[in-house]
Amino acid sequence: MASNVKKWVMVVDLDKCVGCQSCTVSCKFENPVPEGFFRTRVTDVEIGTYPETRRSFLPQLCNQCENAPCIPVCPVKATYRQPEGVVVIDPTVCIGCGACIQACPYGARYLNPISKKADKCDFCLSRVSEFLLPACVETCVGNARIFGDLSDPESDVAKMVATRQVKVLKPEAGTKPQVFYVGLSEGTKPNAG
Amino acid sequence: MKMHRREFIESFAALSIGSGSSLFSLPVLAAGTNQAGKPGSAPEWIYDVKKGMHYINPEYAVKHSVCLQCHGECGIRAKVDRKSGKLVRLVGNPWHPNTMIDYIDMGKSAAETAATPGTLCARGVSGVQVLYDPYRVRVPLKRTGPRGANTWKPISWDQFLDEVVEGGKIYKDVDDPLGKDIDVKGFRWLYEHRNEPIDPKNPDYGNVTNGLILQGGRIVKSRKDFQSRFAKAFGTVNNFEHTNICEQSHHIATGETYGGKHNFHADLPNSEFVMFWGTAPGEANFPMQTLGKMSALARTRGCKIVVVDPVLPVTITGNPNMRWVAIRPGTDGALAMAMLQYIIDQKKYNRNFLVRPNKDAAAKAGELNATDASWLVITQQDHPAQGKFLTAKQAGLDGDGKVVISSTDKKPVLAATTNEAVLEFVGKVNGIEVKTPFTLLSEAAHALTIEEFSKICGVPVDVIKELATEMTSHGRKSVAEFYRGIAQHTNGYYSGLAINALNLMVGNLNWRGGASTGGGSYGYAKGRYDISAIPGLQSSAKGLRISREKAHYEKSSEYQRKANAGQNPYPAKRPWFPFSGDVYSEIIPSALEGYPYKANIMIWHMATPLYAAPGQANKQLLEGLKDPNKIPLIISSDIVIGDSSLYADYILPDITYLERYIHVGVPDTLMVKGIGVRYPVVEPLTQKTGDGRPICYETFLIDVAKRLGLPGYGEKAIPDADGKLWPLNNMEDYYLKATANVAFDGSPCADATEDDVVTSGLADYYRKYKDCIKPEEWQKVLFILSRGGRFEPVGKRYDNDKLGHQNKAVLSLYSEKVAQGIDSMTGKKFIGNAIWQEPLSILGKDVGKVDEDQGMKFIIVSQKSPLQSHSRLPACTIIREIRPENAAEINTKDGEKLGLKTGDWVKVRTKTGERRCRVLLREGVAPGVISFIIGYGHTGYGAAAGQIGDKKFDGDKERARGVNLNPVMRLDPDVPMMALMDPIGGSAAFFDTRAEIIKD
Repeated sequence: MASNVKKWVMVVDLDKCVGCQSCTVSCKFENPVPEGFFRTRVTDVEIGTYPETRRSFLPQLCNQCENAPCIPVCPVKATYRQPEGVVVIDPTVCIGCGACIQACPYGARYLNPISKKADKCDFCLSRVSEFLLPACVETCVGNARIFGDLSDPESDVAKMVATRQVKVLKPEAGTKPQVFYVGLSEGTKPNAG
Repeated sequence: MKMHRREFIESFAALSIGSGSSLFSLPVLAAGTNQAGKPGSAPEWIYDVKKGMHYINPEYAVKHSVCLQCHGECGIRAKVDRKSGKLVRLVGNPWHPNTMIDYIDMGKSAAETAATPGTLCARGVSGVQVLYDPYRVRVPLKRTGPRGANTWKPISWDQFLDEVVEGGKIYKDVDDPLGKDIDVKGFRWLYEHRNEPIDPKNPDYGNVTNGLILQGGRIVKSRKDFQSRFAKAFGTVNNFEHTNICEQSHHIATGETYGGKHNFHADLPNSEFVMFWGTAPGEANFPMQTLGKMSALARTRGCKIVVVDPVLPVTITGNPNMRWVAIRPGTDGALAMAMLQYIIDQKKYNRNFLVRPNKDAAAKAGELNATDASWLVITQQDHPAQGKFLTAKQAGLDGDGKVVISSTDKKPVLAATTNEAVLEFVGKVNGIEVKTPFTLLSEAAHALTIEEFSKICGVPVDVIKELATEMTSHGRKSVAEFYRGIAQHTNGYYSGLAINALNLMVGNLNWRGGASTGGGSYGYAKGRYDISAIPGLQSSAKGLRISREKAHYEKSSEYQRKANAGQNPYPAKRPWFPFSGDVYSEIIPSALEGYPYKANIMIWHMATPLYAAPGQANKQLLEGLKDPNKIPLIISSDIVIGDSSLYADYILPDITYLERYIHVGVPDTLMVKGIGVRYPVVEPLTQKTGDGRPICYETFLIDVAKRLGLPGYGEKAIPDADGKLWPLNNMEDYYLKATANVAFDGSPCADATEDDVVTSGLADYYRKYKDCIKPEEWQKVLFILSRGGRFEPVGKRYDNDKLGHQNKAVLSLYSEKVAQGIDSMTGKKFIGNAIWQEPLSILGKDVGKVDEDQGMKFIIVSQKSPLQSHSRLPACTIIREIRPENAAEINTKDGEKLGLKTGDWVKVRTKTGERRCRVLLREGVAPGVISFIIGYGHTGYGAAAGQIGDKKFDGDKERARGVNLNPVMRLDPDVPMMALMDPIGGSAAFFDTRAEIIKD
């Protein structure tokens, strides 16, 4: 039985990512993200030498960390975890100092040059609160991005976390990310945030 | 996060990231900026927690239509602001089979699918930016300077129609010394002379009206039929779409094998081994996104997928089931032949399938199709029927039809009544030398050793054997499918036929896990109305197309005249293509050369031959186009001033796919029956005519037709089932009747509910067009419109171990038709079975070798990216943010040998010309190959500076970025301005050009 308080997480099944970038683009049509910036992206690298070459994709977004380094560094408490586990920024409070951007080990945040505020993925919270999917998930061509409530053991995400070997990015940073990856290997990891 | 592009182009990072278009606006261009919908707006659905269901946010309508960012034509769900009428965002239509493997049943309401919309690819999502492109043209433009100068003035709809219909000295106000005084023959002059031959010496060329050429680019199905209606009523056979620069040899070869069906696809959700040749799921072919999702599912459940291509596609991930076989461009036929040789020698083919010479025999043996593998072919060179199937009469047998050798008593018998026939046979029947198609194929497959084939294609012998073994080790569940990378070579037809033969060795068609030729469509042309009928038509559309297609040179008066005069009729001045159609790349060169005849009026619709056809923008052709004496009137129907439209006399502003109609069957890839129905999700942005219709291609054709009094337009134009005639004054008069036909095809579809109409905001639409169809049809038509088409339930896809939709044709290893054809250039007969042939020029010259000997060591191939579609995405700045520029992509070692590193500027030089671009070193490109992503390097489409009226405007540098190598592709050495061509399939070659790379 699901608990009353939901816990929104994403599981990314890397074996199903087709590298189409529909998530990257859909996000920008749903959310006001200025040119040159992204709330989510998919790195696309070639691995191996010819002819044993392969493509490797890694969808990345804010990890909605349980132990988010961006929260304590905010001098005005503009960034916080809302009850359902999503790390959000209150733009009316944010002073655009950039401390959170520096603190994020994933490079998931940016300073919006138009609003002069910090910005990042919030799992499309306005959609999620209407029981809709985040834009990147609803258009995921390979069905690689799975979104749902981890506190509901019947949810797809809970089942995947329970039964598949899931990993997170940079576990050594101790951030406890709530974006989980299936099939993450050394070859698919990003070099830096 | 900030921009991080693909790691292998990181040294491009110094370049500015797609800084967007110069957001200018002119009154004649679309107002406003290239806005990306309305990011940050409220969701279109609201959730009612108590009821546990979604309902529509009253601020928005959710409309369902059909994408056209590529030819996948996926269903779209459009979020439209009710107050402003503006399109906000696009997602996938979950009722449409392209957008989900297990798509939603039409019985469900839109609200019930709120949290399960279908998917769309990045291009599809970006369609909003095509609609609101600030470079869109909204009013008719007339050039004020020479063709290509990009100087224009806005003119009224009436002036536009007056000038092009009536003709005369219409360029007297144009500053162009070449054409100022010419007397242009307009539509009226041609139509008035419709009963006169275009060339009295050659009556088989047809009439004067053939001087009108409709060169459609992306135009299919009900939109193509709209164009065809005009062509028929006016009397021109020159009614084209673009297929020969797309994949025509694929169509032709596939049609020959599969009983006229032009597409053949693996049942990826259930296959065990699939080879993709010259195409890659999730990257190319259509529907791209569906193939992507099917391949992702397939690899995770254990299906082995091989992509044979010189360039590593997105498909080949780290999953061990994925395999890339890098091949030398143009040698796929050699690989297929080597595999066939091994399969035949090792007897790995499906004998039980191949030995069945008729349908009954096949059925008795548990097979779903008969084949021609055992039918005897006359091979005796001096026999008048050489190349044809031996008939019962010729064999001295009683009865009719084909003849086989019985496998029981080894005697000639009727194919129609024999259960099992001999596959390999060489001998004489009734004194006539014969062989079976299987033997002919086997001989061709043994023309070289596997080692020799391997040397040609660059695929190691052990890999060839492995692939052949895999192909024949999964029962019915292995498939080889091919597409453009094979088709667009001069040997495309024969190579395609060889790949088809691999499938016949398996016998995979119609089986679950095997392959399909499609599930079919609902009919739109007839039923409630016959929209194909033209009452009162006395057609003068006859004779030869300017591209000399679907016609045999030997039957022409030209040939007869030469032969009668004792001249050698070969070669023809330009080749004829007896087995192909839509030989698009030959339209302009032929018109300029005046062979077989000249063109008076050329209309380009959604067509950009100068950008898209190989070698087309060559110097001679451009010079010819600039001279209005050669083709006196060029009208381009375009949403922008495109790369080709720059050379038009008039721009007829068109509407985008988000403002128009179509009825288009779902791609055969889906294996289900369905049809997407497109209708405008927003009010068209082009200027309206005096009576309120949007200016566009259809409105133009209607108005020209009415001015000329063509049959089939105006008040009494379209008959219903009772013979009553209905008007055709606007495009809805036509397309809504087609939708009614779809709704009532077979057992009629459901009625729309009030909720359907409200959710999709169709009430106003109904009110506006209610007289276009009968009142009793509307509820069903609204149902179709509210769902974006009509699609059978997904459960129809399979019937236990078979596919739900069966192709009953006799499958062919041999084409009697092609074997009867004569090459109009060499005078030699074509061959009926698959063979390996090097890519050659039209007179059989190995131009690749010639160019290679002159230092052009690389072969150019174009590459499809999931983020680009041919010429049509320059407006999509969000996509360009991910990849702002393409490059000449070469193998790392090749680059290092030339002292190059990624990001360096180079010149790519071919026999036709050169282009400057950056180079990108990759491990994912075969050595000796230059690959470039198509879609960049525009010279028009907003990239060029120009002037409209007294307003000058700058070009958008972002749209010019990168390179398009199509214009410098190799031309045939013996036929002026012609691309290298496949004489059978009719394809123009995109992958047979040699080039050198010079550090800049």
